[in-house]
Amino acid sequence: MEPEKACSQDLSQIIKFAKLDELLDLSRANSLWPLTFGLACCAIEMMAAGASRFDLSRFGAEVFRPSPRQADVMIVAGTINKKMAPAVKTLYDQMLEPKWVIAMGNCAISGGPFVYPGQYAVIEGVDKLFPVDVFIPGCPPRPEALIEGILKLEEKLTGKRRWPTVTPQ
Amino acid sequence: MVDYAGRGFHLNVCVWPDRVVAAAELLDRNGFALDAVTGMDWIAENEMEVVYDYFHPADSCRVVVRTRVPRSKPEVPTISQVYPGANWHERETHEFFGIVFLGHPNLTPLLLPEDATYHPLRKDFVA
Repeated sequence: MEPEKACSQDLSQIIKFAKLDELLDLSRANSLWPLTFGLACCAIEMMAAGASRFDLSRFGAEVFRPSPRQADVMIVAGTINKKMAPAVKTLYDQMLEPKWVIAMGNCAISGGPFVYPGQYAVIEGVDKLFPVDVFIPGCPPRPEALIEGILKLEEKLTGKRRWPTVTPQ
Repeated sequence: MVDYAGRGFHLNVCVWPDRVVAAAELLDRNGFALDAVTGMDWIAENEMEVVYDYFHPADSCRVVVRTRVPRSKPEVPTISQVYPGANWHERETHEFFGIVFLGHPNLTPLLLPEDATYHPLRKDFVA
């Protein structure tokens, strides 16, 4: 075989051309760094998702950052009450662009069980404070649901799903 | 004296609002500790009630001291100079029921937002 031809065949297998935007999206989607940040019981599930059994690192999102300056996804895991809201908003504002928000659990979606006539303490949904990209329902959602939410966010960034969808048997 | 098994305390005392400090001093001299201070809104009678829960750490005795003030002027003297731990209890009772503890060193909201002016545990509260 001629050396030149062999070379071109091999290269077609390993070299792909894409727009820079797509490559950036791909690299961002494959290494989402969440903010270490929990507000209530959903945070326990978030910790479980990060620990060895559910192993969020399989999907590149295990690097929980203790500083908003280093994080690019905020997982709002829990109830936001009115006194906590300014702190949450500050954390969001301190994150660098591009940044994304996952509302984990019913409290972060809508206030959850704390919505009733005369309630005076709870923000009814984190989307009242800043935009949200992915909503994960559940009270609390299981770690698998959080992983699915992160995969949905990846899908939003790249436009395609990296992993097969699991259907219940 | 009341039935402890049914009510959860041994002695129920109702005093006038100006006697709560004297009651606290008496209980303090006898080795009682303060468990909680809370309020109650008797809206039909147009009165607010302040409830002080005391317990004796060694003798297994629980005492409840109650006092009632008119809803239009809910003012009770503070017992925080007798029991320093009452400071936060009274702040909480103040913010949730709007009961004013006269002579309290710092009657600012404890759990509600700093600028809260509403009293959520009053029966006529609407958010």
